[in-house]
Amino acid sequence: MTAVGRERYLRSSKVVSREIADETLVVPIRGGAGDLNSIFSFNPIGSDLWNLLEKEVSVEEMTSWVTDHYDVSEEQALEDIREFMGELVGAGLVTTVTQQVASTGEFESVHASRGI
Amino acid sequence: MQVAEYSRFSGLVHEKYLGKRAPVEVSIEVTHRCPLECLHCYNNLPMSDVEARSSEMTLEEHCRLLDQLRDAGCLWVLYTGGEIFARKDFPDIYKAAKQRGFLITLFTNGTLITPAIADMLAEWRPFAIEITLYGATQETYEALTQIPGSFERCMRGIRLLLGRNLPLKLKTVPTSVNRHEVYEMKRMAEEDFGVEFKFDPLVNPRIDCSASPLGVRLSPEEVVALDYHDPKRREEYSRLAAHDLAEREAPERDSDHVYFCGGGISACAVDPTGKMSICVISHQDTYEWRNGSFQDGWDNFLWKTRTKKRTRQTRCDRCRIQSLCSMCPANGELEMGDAESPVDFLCQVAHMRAYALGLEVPEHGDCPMCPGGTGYAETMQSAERIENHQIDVGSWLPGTVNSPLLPVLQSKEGCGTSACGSCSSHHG
Repeated sequence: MTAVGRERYLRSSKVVSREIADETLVVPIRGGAGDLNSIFSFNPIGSDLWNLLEKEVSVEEMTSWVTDHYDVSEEQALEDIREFMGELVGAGLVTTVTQQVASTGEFESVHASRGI
Repeated sequence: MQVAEYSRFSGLVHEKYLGKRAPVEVSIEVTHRCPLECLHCYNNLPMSDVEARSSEMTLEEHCRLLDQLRDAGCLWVLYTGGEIFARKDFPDIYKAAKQRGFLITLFTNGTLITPAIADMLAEWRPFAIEITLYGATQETYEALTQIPGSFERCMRGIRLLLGRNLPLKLKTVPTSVNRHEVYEMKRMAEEDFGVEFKFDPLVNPRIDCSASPLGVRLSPEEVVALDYHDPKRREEYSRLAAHDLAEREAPERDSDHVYFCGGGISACAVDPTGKMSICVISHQDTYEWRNGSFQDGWDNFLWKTRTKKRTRQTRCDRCRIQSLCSMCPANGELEMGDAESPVDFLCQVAHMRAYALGLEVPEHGDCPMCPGGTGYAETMQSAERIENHQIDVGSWLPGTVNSPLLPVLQSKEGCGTSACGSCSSHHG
């Protein structure tokens, strides 16, 4: 049986987001959450994606959501979201959750790991 | 995703709130108890004060308050005291605030910081920590704190925080006891510890109305001499004064309101028992958070306080050197028992700052520090001595307590006038 990785993403439990003056701010709160001296903010689409990341979500699901709500091609959205997720993982703001899926497509196991 | 420089980020948040009223910054005093007995302190109580301890908000109340602050849009929280670590459960209060996403500054004297506390802070990194130094030597430090061994405990606390690369700044309150070591403290902070240093010589009467801290307050001449010993500080005052005096008229105050600061507009304070007020030193008007909610206190009570009308004109209204002056209604409350009364001490310091820069202060009413006033000659003479470098801060000797006011500290009776209502709610 061959396993294929399908990454899903989730907000790190070591950051907290706040809505301040209509802007989403992400504040790392403890060690292991990237740069504790930084405060992160997003543009409107970034804020929407951050809201989706409250639950596990895949790049494909986020792409679908963005193309449903914004006037952007699927190809462009996919590219931008992949880049954005790379930044979020690099900054320690989200964790990756890899589903080990059998070649039959049957769900086998899920484990979470920290982003960096 | 944007990663902003902090100053730009802070500016952006304040800009977004410009013209709006929101409690962006809240100061929370977790306790007034403190292991030190500093002669100049405006609110400290003994560690053994059972009544003070039993009246403090519990951990659960702090968590509830934090939830309400978050819902009200607060971003910056300052935890201060007394001494914050005098409460054994302060780490729990602090972590609860961190978990809610506040940017937290801690004011502490550093003497109760242990390796375990420093480790906790390294894991849950604060936005900033400020430790107040009381002297550069053990002798001076402990002359002001009155607690043997406190200097070494403070130094240990500093080393523990720096060893974990925490965002530490040092500061002091210059008094007659430690005035000769202010610039040595600055050197120590910047060169030995590699951290920023600042000082503020403003010493207030106690919030229980005792005037005992004034016994160690510097004279106006000493305050200004200390300021101008630092060329950068002198330059900053010069810049501020030039800006003020370039205006045709005095800066317009917030209409006809008593308060003209950010208190009640973008900031407020909560004392150890849950009383909300405009700021930590203003106690004439307080709202019992325990009997209501933060939002109600902010929306209704503090708005009413903030928009309280002035009852009279004072010499401060048309004063053109307000940026050289520390006068605010809370200082008036503490020193004069009346938020609207100018404080002569502050008035003299401001005028001396201007005169020592060779500036004239435009006429602004019946002012004792202006030409023809009762304090003008003395203020001018001091300014000339400072301007002519006749006062050598570097040669100051260890100072002493200036006046026999100290016994008031022990009396626990306050002023007895009940003007501000503080005497009944605080003991000292």
